[in-house]
Amino acid sequence: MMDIIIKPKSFISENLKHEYSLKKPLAIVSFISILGGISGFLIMRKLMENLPEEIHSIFIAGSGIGLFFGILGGIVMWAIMAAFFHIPAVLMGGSGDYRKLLELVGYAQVPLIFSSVITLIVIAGFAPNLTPELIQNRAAVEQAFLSVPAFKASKVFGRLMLFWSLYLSVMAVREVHRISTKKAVVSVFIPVALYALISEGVRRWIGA
Amino acid sequence: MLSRAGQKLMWICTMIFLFSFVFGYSVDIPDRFKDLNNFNNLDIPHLNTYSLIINNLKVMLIIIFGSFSLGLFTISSIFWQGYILGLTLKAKGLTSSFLIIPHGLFEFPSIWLAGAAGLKGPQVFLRYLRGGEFVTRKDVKEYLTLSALSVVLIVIAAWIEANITPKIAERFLP
Repeated sequence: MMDIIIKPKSFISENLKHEYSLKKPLAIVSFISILGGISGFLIMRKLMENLPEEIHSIFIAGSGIGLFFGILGGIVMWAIMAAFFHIPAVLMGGSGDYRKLLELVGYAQVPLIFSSVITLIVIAGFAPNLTPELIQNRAAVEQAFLSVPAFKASKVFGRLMLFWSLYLSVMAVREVHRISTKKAVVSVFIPVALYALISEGVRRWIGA
Repeated sequence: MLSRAGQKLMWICTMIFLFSFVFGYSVDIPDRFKDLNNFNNLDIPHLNTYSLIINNLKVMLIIIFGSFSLGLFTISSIFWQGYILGLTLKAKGLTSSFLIIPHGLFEFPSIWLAGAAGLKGPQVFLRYLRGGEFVTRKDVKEYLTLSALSVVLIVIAAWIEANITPKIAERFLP
């Protein structure tokens, strides 16, 4: 599995010779989602320190539900992103199978394991104190986190890992659909740019 | 009328709803949130059929179109509906079921039918991943039938909630 990191091109070429199998990519995506869920739980625990004990059970129940839907959401996002990479590739003359692309896009998320582990460690060790006044404002919470240098560094590292993952996705789209690198870049970055724009719009809309 | 797979989806939705209801009912509600206990908060006279149809249809549409999120919005919405119902019954006491059962007889099946439509997307997707067909005419027909049935039931439920429930509340509740 680590071949996707060390020698991605040969890993993808070798993988294309076999029938698709989604077990390992599913494990990768689920693992990343679980790491994200644990990070969320640690933040929630930090929030609870400053909240009355009587509502702790609600927070714990909320964390459990959040973890479940986080894992489900991670898997759904993987399938949807692969579909969004697949459609432009097909429109630009690609002829690959969606299921094979889904498998390789799953493998392409391996770099995100590194950033998720780093984020988890940073949250466990350096999470700032979150007062009840602060947690009413999501932007203020984000600011409190970014005021800690370790969080800033982990955010930059996370972005780097994301771009690495996207680079691997470009290679996957190119090889699965047998299209040029330029077309594969367009296939991957159009949906990603749209997603970034929409999520930023939604963030501003809800006033976060 | 429903295929075996469709029936299975409806059972899954029913189970999610019941599980979340029990979960909502079993969560400890802090005292400061128990002001729900007052039935005067219900403000029944302001509920009319039209506003209830609009409110309920919004939820139904999220559940039905959740199919395109591979069931994520469908499952989370059904979970939320059951959870809130459990929480409400716990806060207001079991006597409040007088206010829920009449329209619930139509509303709950409506949620489960909409849920079955919403889970049609992931079902078709999983079938495709296992090497089967993608979307067939039969899938589309079943999706539309489930959605239409669910909308009809939610309209009936809204009418009962607006016209029958207030009368029951006046008669049976202090």
